[in-house]
Amino acid sequence: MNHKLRKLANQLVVVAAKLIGSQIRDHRTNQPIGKAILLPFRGKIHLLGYHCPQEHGQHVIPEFDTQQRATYWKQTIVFTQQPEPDYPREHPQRDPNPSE
Amino acid sequence: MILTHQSRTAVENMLTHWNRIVPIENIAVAYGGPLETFESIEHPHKAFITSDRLRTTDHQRERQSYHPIFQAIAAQKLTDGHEHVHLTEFDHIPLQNNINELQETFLQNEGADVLGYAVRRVDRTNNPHYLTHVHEARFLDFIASISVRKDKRAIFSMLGFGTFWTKEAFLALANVDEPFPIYLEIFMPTVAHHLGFRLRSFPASSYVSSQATFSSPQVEKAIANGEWFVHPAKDQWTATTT
Repeated sequence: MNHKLRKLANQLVVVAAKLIGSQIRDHRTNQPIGKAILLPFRGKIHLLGYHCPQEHGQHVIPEFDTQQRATYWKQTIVFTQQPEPDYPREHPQRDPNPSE
Repeated sequence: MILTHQSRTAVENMLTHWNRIVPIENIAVAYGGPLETFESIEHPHKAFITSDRLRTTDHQRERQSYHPIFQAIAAQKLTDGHEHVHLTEFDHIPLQNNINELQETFLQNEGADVLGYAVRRVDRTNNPHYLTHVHEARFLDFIASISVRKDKRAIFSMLGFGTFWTKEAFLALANVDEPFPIYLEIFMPTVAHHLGFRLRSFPASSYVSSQATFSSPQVEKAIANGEWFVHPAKDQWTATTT
């Protein structure tokens, strides 16, 4: 029963995030990358009900935004994503010409 | 290599369908169901997977692994005479008769060793599988111990079904011991990358996400549109004959 209640509560959070959550944008591209409720609590920021509309959606990386002018009273946490993997083959023992 | 746990009749239906596309001697079955059913399956290329690492209930939290399948295939030398391995699940249904040619061509065009669905880099993200693995220091230590890459903290994820491998990459992964439970969606792409192999995603449109079976209009439309697979069609082999 506890498991079912917990699952129901989780689903309610996801639904709430879809309805009232903040739109999250990729800081580099300004493209929307999902919705979530951002909840500061006990010195941490909790990401609740993150939902990305893309199929098998990507996940987000939080980081502090850079500042053109030093601002001492405010810093901003933004979100971005990892790029799609596109790494070359790398076989130190097998490559005939590793310098290529 | 098709992973299944279904009944003998369902497995026969599945093999009949695949045999329209692939010669029967090129198809192997990795079986995760009851032993008596496995023994009743009249197909010469089959492996019975006993490992608890495959037979999980809460697959993500118990960190289900396909590594026993890799090791069984390697041990039984089922890759002998082949250049590529397509490791898939019973509910991932091919829709095109030239499916292997399509996959091989895409692999070659991408210059890749491994193709999968939703291949992502997930380190530093909120990906729950990444977060739970990196919580244990031994995870990054293990990756560093096998890596030929400069960046030993790069972690990847991909879906478990329908992966496509060069034989070299497949056997190299089979040869790595899983030192502690690592979820298959993290283990397969991350270890392959750190062994030096190139990962790429299948085209996003290469499968239809649906439980529909062949008789449905949705699948007929997908075939006409040139889609490669339908997934997860779990009732395909039990509901109907092909």
